[in-house]
Amino acid sequence: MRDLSQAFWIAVPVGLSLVCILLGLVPVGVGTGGTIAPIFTLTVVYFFSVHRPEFFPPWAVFFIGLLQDVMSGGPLGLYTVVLLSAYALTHSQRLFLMGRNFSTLWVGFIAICGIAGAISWFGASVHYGQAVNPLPLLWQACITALVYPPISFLLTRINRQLTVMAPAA
Amino acid sequence: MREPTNRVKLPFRVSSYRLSLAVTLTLACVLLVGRAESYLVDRTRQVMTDLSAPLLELASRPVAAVRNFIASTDEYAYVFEENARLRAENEQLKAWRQQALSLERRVARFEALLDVTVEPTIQYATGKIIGDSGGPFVHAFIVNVPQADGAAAGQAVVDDEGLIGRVVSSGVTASRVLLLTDLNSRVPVRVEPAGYRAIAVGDNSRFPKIEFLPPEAKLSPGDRIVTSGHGGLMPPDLPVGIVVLAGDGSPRLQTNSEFDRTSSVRVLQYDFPTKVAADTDEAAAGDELAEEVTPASPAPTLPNTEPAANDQIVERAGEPGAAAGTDSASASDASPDASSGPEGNE
Repeated sequence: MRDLSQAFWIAVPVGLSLVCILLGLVPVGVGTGGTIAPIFTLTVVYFFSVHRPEFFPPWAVFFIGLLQDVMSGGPLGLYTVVLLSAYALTHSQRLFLMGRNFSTLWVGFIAICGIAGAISWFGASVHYGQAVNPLPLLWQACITALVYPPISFLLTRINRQLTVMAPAA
Repeated sequence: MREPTNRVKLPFRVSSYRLSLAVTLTLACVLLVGRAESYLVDRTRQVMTDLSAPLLELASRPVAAVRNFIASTDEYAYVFEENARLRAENEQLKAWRQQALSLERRVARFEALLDVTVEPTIQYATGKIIGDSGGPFVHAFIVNVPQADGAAAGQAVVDDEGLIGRVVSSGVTASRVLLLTDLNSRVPVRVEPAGYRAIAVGDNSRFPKIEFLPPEAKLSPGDRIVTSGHGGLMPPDLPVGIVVLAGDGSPRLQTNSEFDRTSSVRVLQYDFPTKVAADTDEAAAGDELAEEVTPASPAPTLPNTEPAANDQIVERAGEPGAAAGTDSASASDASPDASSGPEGNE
């Protein structure tokens, strides 16, 4: 019964990630320095791998990454590798990050953004067979780090509701 | 009762998590390194684009409203300077208009005398940009022009400033447009005034490279770049941009369009003229025919895409002279696509 309930709650981070994928495709353009959007899904992956990893298993992260690859039109597997690596790294530091204040979590996220950017650069360079320009990635990592506070604010409220409705395992 | 159960399950959970992570990560790496791009992936991509298009269209409305607000605020701030500039430009354009009309008459007469096949009818569909790939490696838009309105892979996409890219796939609700700056974009161009042929090669930077120039080519900053029409998918003479020189002295393309400010675009359904008119009545090759051909043969001009901002409109660029004068508007679906580069990620 508990497994069934957990499977149901997986829909929460997956649904939020789907919204994030669509958000990343909205043509904001002006004022963001071109057509590069933040990796909104990285914020959801980071948040849930710290607070609720039982609701966001690796296969769900894989699915989200794959969907983002398909939707963005980029190299298939790139976002999948980036999100899974970020997930694994965050999960390995979970005991340190759990229960910390917002600033510490944000610093942790900035570090994850940097690592995700490096993995993305390496993966894209391997895929295209040439060293790709790292500047757009740097820009994307910066704006992704900047969108964490507002998204984290929303996710914290959602997590509080989850805590009431679905206590931790 | 719960504690012992969890304690028993814990090792299994940890190993299950590790196994799941290792399998998914390996699979993702295989997909990335193996370049798993296939027809199935392309179709899935288009289906997902079609499914998300209504949502994206909805989400893009407030964004468009904000952009319009910012743009109108800008216009108010510079209204006097803009007015003075437009007056001066208008004076210049009046002079140019007279010259253009005179040249147009001369060209029409020459074409009639030489029995030239006039440009085929160009149909187009106007649409809005509802999605943006948003990635650092892919420069692509999602445009709400469906297959039913004639959008097909390879067609040129322009805004009111010039060429922005080409359609790479189209579906039931939307099409994907690969921008000139994308790593996979290759567009045959001509550099004016010398007329050098070249290929505009996207490299994910703001300024695509200009490659395959003839060895003797000498380009100067500011030279105009237009489409050459080679390959038959894009009409010739569409404005693309100007030549700029990079730090190392290599020529680059600065596009006329600013992609991050474009909101409405037009998909050109160009049919390459494969059939040449067999017989033209020489008797009609005088002034009468010249008058008839005149409106049909100008180089493709860029229609203003802004008024079509509400919803997608399909329009016909009527060219009565072309339809009446020759049989050249027949379809050419067999023409090779020289403008297509390797479509690795699209």
